[in-house]
Amino acid sequence: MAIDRATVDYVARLSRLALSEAEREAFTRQLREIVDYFARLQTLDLSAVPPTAHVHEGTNLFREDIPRPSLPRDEVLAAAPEVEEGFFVVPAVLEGAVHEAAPPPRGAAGPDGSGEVADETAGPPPDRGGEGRAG
Amino acid sequence: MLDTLLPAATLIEGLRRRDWSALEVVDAYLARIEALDGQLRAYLHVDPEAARAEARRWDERAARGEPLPPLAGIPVAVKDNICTRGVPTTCGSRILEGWRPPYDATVMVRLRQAGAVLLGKTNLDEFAMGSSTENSAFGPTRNPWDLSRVPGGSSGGSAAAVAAGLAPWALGTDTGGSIRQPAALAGIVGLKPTYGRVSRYGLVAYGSSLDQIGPLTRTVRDAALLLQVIAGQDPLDATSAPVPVPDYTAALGEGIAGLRIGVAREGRGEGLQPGVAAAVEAALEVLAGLGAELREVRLPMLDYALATYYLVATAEASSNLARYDGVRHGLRVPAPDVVEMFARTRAAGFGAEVKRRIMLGTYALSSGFYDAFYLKAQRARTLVRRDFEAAFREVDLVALPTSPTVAFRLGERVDDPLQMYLADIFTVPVNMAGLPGISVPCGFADGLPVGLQLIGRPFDEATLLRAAHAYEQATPWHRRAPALAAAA
Repeated sequence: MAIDRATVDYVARLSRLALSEAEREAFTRQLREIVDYFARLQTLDLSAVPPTAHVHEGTNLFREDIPRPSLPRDEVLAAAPEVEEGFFVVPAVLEGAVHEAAPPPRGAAGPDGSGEVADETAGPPPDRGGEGRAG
Repeated sequence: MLDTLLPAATLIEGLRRRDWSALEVVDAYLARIEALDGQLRAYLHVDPEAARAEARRWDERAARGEPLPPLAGIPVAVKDNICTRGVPTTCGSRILEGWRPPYDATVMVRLRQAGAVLLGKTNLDEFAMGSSTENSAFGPTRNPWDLSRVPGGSSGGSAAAVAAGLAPWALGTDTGGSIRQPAALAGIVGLKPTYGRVSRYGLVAYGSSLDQIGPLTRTVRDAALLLQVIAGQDPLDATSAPVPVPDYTAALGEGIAGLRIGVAREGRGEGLQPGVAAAVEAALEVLAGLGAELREVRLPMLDYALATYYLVATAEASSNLARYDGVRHGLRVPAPDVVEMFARTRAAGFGAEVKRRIMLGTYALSSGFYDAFYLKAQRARTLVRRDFEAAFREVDLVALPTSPTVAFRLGERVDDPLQMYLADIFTVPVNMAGLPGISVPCGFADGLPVGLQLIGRPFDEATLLRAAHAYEQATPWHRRAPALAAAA
């Protein structure tokens, strides 16, 4: 599961980060070292241990459903880079290229790629949300 | 002029007795900031006129004999990832440069209601990601004990400000040690409350299941006083807990006879500097001398806690920081289409460590790696919690060093992220388990401060404060202050 340049490029695309050449090189080296350190978790037998997402798991806390004033629209929009008639303005979304992250490179695809990842599941899990589409 | 190294509790008493006015207090701190912050760079934003105006208002109310709230006219510094209405909140990042939040964080609302005067916003590692304050886009903060060294992080600005008397106390935030570690490296008290004790509403999110706001102070009593004001459930934060808030100063002086303190051999491992180890061992002797019963406990997950933490925290960060997209606030780098605009904006707006953590978290959550990394880390997190649950069946508190080393030199670790992460080895387990932890000064190694960390049961900050106070009162460390001279 070593991190290589292709993995860094793939993850940068998912992260919406336009990295420079120097960053790609440094991150490949640094992320590889850090992920190698993470590998110590693979030595633990965790199969019977439930995951913790949150330390106070229990019932949801709800506040009373009482309307309260929202933030003034003008104050909120004042912080935006570009606004028009009370809306945020963004560059073209539907026109032009629809961007999608390229499929993961070989060797970075976990169970289906290098086969180095110890994984209990039969196939790759569903995508966890890094690949939102632009249009 | 007023001594700015006085504890906040003494300032409060003096104001009540009219020994000094709120304006005199604020002016003393502003003068100290003016004299020393060019060297320290603890603050990112100070508005002297706003602070003076607030102080005058409290003086006028006092002159009219009106009843005053508990902190009326007392200045406070606030870490710059806590939203302050109309006052810049940068998170130490270019991506939020110039942003003025349209609302106050709940802790700010509570501080203002208690009468505190906002002195300024303090420097931090960008989005609270770091252990040295070197990751601030606006330059590092220096350690007042040695200007060539870091003050720790990520609340390094708050720690340096308090240690050097540029604020009587400050708020910081702690996701993996960011209050306790800088408190240790700067020779002051730092308290991370139980997860859920203090509202996170208006705290710019880094790792939402780990983040807590807490005090950095000169004394343990001050930490109790400041926690008192900010603690409690908040309808605006569904993770703030409906647990009653006790009077944190009431039992401070009751002593620790019979208190059982757990000492873990895993806290004596390699990487611990001999001077730090010696100071912590000596502190344990002092606690025993005060009547505490020291017992061995085991924390076998300590070797895995750092890896667990950096997977969970970066996964949460990668999700939380997706909101910086050049649309609603902050920086935008123009591009012909929206995805390219996101990518260029984020590339220009985030610094190297924030990018690394977003990348790590995205990797750990990405298709094919979720089970191998993120889910494994969540399972390992359960074991970290169980370590502490087992320990707290035997003892009332657990003691560890706060940081394995004293303050390191600027630049020493910036190109070696993993070495930087190792600074957090003794603090991250506490966040993983959601427990309260305090760092209290426990001596010096090579002339630099060392911190003792005490860890308590969930919502038992009172016991933590009582033990830390007993230790503090039996030792001279809190009375030492760095020798700093204004630049000529």
